[in-house]
Amino acid sequence: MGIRAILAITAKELNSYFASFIAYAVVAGFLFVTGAFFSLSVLLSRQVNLRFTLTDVAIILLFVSPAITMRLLSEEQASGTLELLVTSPIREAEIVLGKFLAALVFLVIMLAATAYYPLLLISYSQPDPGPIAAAYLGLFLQGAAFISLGLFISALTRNQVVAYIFTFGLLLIIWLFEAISGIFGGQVGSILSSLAFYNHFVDFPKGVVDTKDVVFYISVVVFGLVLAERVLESRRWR
Amino acid sequence: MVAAGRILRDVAKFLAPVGLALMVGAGARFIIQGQLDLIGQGLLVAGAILVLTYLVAFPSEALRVVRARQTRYGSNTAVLIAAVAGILVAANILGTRYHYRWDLTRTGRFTLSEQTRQILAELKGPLRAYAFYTEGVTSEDRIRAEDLLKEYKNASPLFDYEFIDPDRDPSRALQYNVRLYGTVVFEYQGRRQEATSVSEQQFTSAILRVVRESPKKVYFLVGHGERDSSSFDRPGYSEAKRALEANSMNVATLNLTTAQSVPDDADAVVIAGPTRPALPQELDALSKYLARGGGVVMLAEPDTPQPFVDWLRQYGVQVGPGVVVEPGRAYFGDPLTPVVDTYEPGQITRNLAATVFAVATAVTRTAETPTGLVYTDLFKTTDQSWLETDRSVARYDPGVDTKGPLTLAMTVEGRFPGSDQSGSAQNGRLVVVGDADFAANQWAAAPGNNDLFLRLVSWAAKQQEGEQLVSIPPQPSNEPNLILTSQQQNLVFLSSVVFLPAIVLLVGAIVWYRRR
Repeated sequence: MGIRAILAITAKELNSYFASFIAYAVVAGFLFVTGAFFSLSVLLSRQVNLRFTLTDVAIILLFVSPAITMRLLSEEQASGTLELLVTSPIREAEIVLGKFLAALVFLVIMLAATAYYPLLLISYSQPDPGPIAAAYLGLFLQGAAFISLGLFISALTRNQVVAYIFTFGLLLIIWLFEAISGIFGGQVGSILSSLAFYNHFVDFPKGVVDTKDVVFYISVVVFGLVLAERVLESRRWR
Repeated sequence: MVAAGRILRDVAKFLAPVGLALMVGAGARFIIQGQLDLIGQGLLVAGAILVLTYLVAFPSEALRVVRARQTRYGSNTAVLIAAVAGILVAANILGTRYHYRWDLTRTGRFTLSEQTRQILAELKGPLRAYAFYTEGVTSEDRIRAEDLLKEYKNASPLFDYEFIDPDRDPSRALQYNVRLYGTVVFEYQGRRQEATSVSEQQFTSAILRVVRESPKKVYFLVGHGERDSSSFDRPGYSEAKRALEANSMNVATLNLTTAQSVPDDADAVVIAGPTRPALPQELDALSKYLARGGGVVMLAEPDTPQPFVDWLRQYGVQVGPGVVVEPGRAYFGDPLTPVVDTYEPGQITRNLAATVFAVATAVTRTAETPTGLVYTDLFKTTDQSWLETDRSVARYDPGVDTKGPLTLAMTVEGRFPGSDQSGSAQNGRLVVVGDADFAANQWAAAPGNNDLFLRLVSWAAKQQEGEQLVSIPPQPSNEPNLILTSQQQNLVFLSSVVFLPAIVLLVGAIVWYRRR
């Protein structure tokens, strides 16, 4: 697997992200909503605590990350360029990894912009840096998992809107598995709740980093990427 | 004949898919119900028959599907995905079993104390916590409770917790005898202990008590018109009994005319407001019990029968005579219902909420007291009160009525007369309160009443206090408050909601314009 091929795809993809106005609009919308959550929570609670603000950011990522991934593979299918890519000497795994990295870089830039909130708090008071750092680690891992699944859905359809809706639906369902688990109870319930994104995320903004949550997110990333790669590969024989 | 054969063949095409669908349905039923019932078994068998019929009836057709390129590649992919999924599931199961948690907070507020870890390591069976909170109301308390319980769960695979909404699930609340929102009940090997406030100190003492201590046995004396511990009526003691049982105490009744002596397993005997005299033999049994290190809680009403009064006098405690009249701190202006909100310093009454008493009498020390006993007043009425001896007029008569402050409750501890003085005997404990109504159902809702009764019995039964079991300093809150001027508030709001998104939009507009 060629690192250069991957990076070439990443660079091309990032270029097309930042060449379009839509990417800026997505980031601006994201910052508007997180900014509202942040300022209201800080001004109303009067506490130097970002635990709940950063948990809200994770929920907003549910809405925003499908927008990052919706066009990655579906657009190429619609315009027919995917055929070119797939028939080129570049392997499917390289395409998937390249596009994943590009979306991940986009996510990091977006999250980096929200660092404005903790910096603002630091200028007024002494917030505890541990929970904030942990929360950002959690947001990064969660965002990576979202992107990986979004990439897989985007490989399944040539329609961006369909990709967005299905990705959002999938992420929301998995986020809510904990609530759903209560309906089933028993063994099924405990399996569902162990898969719930929410359960794996909640500890990060408290300032607690657990290896089992990290392992979970990395597993989701790997699984989503493998699925996406398999879908692309299946175009050879379908 | 040919046409019939074609129709048969068309129908047969659906045999395999329908059969597979039925088997999937059986699987779904198994997953949801946790067992394969008759319908599920029927589905499974019917599906298998359909698939087999297809295979037997059209072997060449089946072979063609298997040999197809799509099937071959498709099954390769399916096997690969299943293998990856299997590896990831295994990694996560291992990752959950062997995991490490870093607490990155400045104060380490999500790190359990060593004492808590030790007791959790001692568990030999499942320990469950049931937290009774209203759902939908995310109070600070609930968040703290869940944060804490989650750390307990992470510290021990044998610990688990569950949040129960007592409004939606009243039967569970009843089952665990829960009266207050925010109660956490710990259950271990059939024993229960509740914690009514959220802190590691509270939770860990509750766990210690339910895990290490054998439950205390408390007897309610019967046969002299005492309050009924199983009665739900207003003068009944069912609430008091509930409080004891929720705190690792077993409750039973004791009839000394038939039992003749206080059982050896008794940790405390409660005499709740007797109205009829006791036989000398019964009082003698109680004396022997005190002498061998027992605990007696005597709740005396103003008209306590003379044998009980005399029995207490031999230990230097005088109850009555008379009724406490308290104009100074009366419950809604009723001078016969004194309210106590300040207590003499001491462990029993520390941080106790206000308590209410109804038609009480005073408890005083006699001039002559036996040696070896230590007397401690627990709380008093105000100096405006007096002990009224003439029930027909509530008026303070100097020289006849005793002037307040009057002691309402007293503890006596030490070697009681008749005990083995050689040294091996334990100290006996006697509690005397000049009222029996305060612990009755009627007054159980008063802030500190139920708690006071629980603490008195628990002291008499020598149940250890939470502070004696463990001592975990409370976690300081790690968030300093944010004090902003109104300009700073405006800046926070405008910069994060307006300026920051606007800058991004501006950059986007510039890029878009230049590319055009």
